[in-house]
Amino acid sequence: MRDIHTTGNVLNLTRRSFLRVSASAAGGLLVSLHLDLPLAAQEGAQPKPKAYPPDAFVQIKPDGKILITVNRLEFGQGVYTSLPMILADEMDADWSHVMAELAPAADVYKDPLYGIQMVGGSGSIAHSFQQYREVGAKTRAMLVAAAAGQWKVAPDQCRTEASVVHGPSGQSAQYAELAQAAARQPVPATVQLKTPSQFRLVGKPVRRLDSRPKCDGSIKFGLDLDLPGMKTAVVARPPVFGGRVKTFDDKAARSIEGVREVFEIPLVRGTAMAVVADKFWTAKQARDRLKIDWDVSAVEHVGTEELSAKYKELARTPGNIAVNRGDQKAMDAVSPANQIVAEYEFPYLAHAPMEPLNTTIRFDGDRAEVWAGSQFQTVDQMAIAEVLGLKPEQVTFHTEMAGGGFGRRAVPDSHVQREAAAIAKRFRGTPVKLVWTREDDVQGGYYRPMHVHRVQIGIDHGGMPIAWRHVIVGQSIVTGTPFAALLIKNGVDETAVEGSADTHYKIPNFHVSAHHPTVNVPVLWWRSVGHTHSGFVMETLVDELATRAKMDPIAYRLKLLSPDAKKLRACLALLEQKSATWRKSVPRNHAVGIACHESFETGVACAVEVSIEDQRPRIHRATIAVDPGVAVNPLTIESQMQGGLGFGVTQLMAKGAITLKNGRVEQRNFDGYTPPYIKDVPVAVDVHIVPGTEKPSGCGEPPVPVIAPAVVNALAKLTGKRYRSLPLVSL
Amino acid sequence: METYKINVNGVSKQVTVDPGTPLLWVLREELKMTGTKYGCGIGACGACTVHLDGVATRSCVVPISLVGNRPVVTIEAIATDPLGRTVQDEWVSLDVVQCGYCQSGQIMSAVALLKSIPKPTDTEIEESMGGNLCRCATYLRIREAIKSASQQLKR
Amino acid sequence: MMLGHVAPSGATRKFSTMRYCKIALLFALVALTGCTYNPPKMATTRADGLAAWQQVYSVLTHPRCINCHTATNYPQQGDDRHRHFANVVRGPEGKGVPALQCVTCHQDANADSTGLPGAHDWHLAPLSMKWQDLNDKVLSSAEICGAITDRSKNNNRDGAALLKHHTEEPLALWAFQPGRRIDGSMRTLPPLTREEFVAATRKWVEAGTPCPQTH
Repeated sequence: MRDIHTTGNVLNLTRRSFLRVSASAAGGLLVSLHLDLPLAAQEGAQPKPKAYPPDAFVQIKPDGKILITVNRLEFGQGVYTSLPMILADEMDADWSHVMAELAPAADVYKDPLYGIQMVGGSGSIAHSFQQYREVGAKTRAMLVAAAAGQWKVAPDQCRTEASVVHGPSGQSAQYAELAQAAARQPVPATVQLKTPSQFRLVGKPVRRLDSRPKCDGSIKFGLDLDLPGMKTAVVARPPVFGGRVKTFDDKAARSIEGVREVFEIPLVRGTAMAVVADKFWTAKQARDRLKIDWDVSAVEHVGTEELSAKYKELARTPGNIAVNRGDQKAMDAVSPANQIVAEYEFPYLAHAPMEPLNTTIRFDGDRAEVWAGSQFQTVDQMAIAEVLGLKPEQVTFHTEMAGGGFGRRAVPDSHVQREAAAIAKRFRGTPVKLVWTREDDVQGGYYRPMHVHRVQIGIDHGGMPIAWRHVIVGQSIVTGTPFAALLIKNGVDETAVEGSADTHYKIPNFHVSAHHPTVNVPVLWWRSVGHTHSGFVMETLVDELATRAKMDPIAYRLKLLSPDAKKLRACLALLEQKSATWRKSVPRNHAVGIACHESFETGVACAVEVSIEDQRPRIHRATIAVDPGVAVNPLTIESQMQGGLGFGVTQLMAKGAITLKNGRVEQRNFDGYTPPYIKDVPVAVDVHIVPGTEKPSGCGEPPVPVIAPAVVNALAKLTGKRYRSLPLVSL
Repeated sequence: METYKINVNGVSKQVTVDPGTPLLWVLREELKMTGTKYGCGIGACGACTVHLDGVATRSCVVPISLVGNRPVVTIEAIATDPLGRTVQDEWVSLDVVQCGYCQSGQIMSAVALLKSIPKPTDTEIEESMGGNLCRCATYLRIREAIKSASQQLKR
Repeated sequence: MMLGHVAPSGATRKFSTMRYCKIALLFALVALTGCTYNPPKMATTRADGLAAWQQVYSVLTHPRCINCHTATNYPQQGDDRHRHFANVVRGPEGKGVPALQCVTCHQDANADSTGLPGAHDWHLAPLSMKWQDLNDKVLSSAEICGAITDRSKNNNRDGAALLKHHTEEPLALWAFQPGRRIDGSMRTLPPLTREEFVAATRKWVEAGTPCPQTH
């Protein structure tokens, strides 16, 4: 065994890894990658290598089909295609024979950096690029060794292409024929990876593997699961977070034909009523007829109005320091005429993935089986095991295709899974599917937190900032979770200040601090997390500075950016090149807005053309330049850029806010919380990728933070107003 | 509970359910046809779109008691229609889907549009598709796929 | 609730109660004879007619009616008359657009289990029958009366045809049995019952469909 250092890992983990190869029962080749990882401190014991299956990464079937296992949830971002591409490329597999499957929960599928099986932080390609390359390359090496052995030639006299090994004298053998022999080969300790010029798939616009089933109704999401004897459950949750059931009357509920059980269950905080029935509609009807008397006396009743006032007051006082660079007295030397003082406000946001949350569990006493579209499989597995009184390895956890997530399916407290487990516990031997309705989803919490920013900027005579005092107020997402040890420093939750504290702008006398009030609303990361609000603040303020300095917004940014901000500089340059022509010729009632931002190690720069139609911003086009290092699949990257911009428009929607009054969420469904429809997103988006050879970085989140500030920067030109409060209710 | 006879994708089916059960849940749970999706339950997102007597219909808000003998066509059968097949092929060709959850409804709406307006303008596309929600925001490629499918239709 | 120019509700209620018995008797006679009954020309004064019109106006401008009598290319919904969700639009015939027609959701009857109102051939009133302006401001009593008696705008309806419309048109009648919302609550009813509305219309028609002066 050999230490392999994954390139580019911040933590520089030392890990022992080995490939275990075995003949699969059906006569193919099963390749497993075992990683003995030092886990993050809070996770405890070392994982033990697992017997096969389930921890295979690639199977060569006797008929030549190649099944590649994807260690992350596919929920739209495209890993179901791009991770197999990486492995298949190094393996020289025939892509037309490649199939993919989603890995169940297992130690071997854990993220090499974070030590849990997860998708998030735009890290799928970034963290698994090397991993999938190595599995692919080593598999190829063993196939070649098997062929070379049969032909009695040296391995380096052979070459591979499209699932065939070719010998030096015209010999050839299909991978499927070689599989058994390859399984008997020793696993190579080291392997030569391809140079970029040798890639056949990586870097090419390869179409998704899951398109057809998603277009013909055959794909099964978690919500579509149907198992023999399955029951469906819905839960009536307290109207105020953390409330408890006091009394209930279930007579009317139970009178409906098909209702099986009605009972109280614990929640992470508080209690609720579960209704289990033969079918979803029956369960929902029964829940509607449940009369519940709630005890909400012991919990805070949050009101958005009061919270907003409180946050604004807090923002006027310094919080826990995130960064303190230079001399804070420098601000005192700047006259008020040369200062900007700005207060920003951001609402709670629901993720609202198209597929409402659901989990199916069958509890058999000494084991359990779970089906869920989870972004946090091993975390959820542990939580379910805990509720059921099992060990995690007694819980088989199947990863289902998910209809979106945006962070909502990555929940440290596994509250949805805990509800499902508590219900399944009462129905031993019967699979129970827990379904959240859309109302449950909109009202169920775990929102992007509400925030207030207060920024004071001192400006020099050249129009550049010479002092920057920035206070951020908002709940901490990771407090009380296993991520706290990693992400809270000096009382500051990094996820609340990312995008501002770590800005790439070179600003002297720079001070960022944060307050994290405790509020009775569960919060969670929402696609691009802290960058959603910090990116907006930074890019609108920088734009305002550029206007004051009478400088072009791109030129100003280039001047203000640190010389080390390579990716952002490259993006701005590419953006300038690709948009200069149209930016100069927009019609009279249209304006251009610019924004750039780096998040999850990917730089993005965007220009939008906006007019006002029907009292709303109409985004006619967007040009976006992105620097994600090596671009594994440009077709996926284009879709993520287009989709991420569209997703980011959620922040601008007139009804894009979750508000509370007296502890109760005021919105119920898409009529009250309205995400972007087709007319709300840019009509056209052209995407340009900065050619890169650096390790790949993520694309799922980086586009999200730039659209709102870019649009608002354009609107400022049309209306003369600066918009500092989201959502945009009126212009 | 009442018994209803409905025609789904050309086949007559019989179900016994509460009269208020939405067509969506009859399809999904009685007939085990899960291609039609639940997104909101109030007709706001279009994920549940089927064709009812040729009219794009949001099955989550239509109780089975109001369906009558109007034929139902779902995503599972849309490919048997040459126009439906063309639309699906363009969806695949242009890599439209991301998570895919809304796409059954998007395709059903797109087919209804093209049946009515074979060469729709950008405005007509935007208006007709204006009520179909996609949280992944695949709208751009949806526009392109509809235009591409439209170009391939014979006059 | 904005109803524009409406007589004080107390007076209206008293008025209708006084007349109710006579109207009820007329209905009973119609039911018994089973044929169209032409009431004798009572001395319906202009003043009576105008008062009756005010009652009709109070119904027409109620959300259950005015939500589909918009000046814009979209309907409204709810008692607060906000823009209908999901970007539904008027379309060339007031029936929506392909894939997003009114009947994409609205069926021939209310769907109380899903909170969807319904009546036969659900669609928007034509723009000629807009009863609010482009800023959603309800038009005055004089303006609406002028519009619905203008035969170049009202589909060439005379008084008798207007009465028939108010008596028989499914969408008009729907307003009085508007069904339940998704949360189970009943939708708010117009200020008159269906019978009172028809009776008021009849009175107004008898008086020669007088309109208040423009002001």
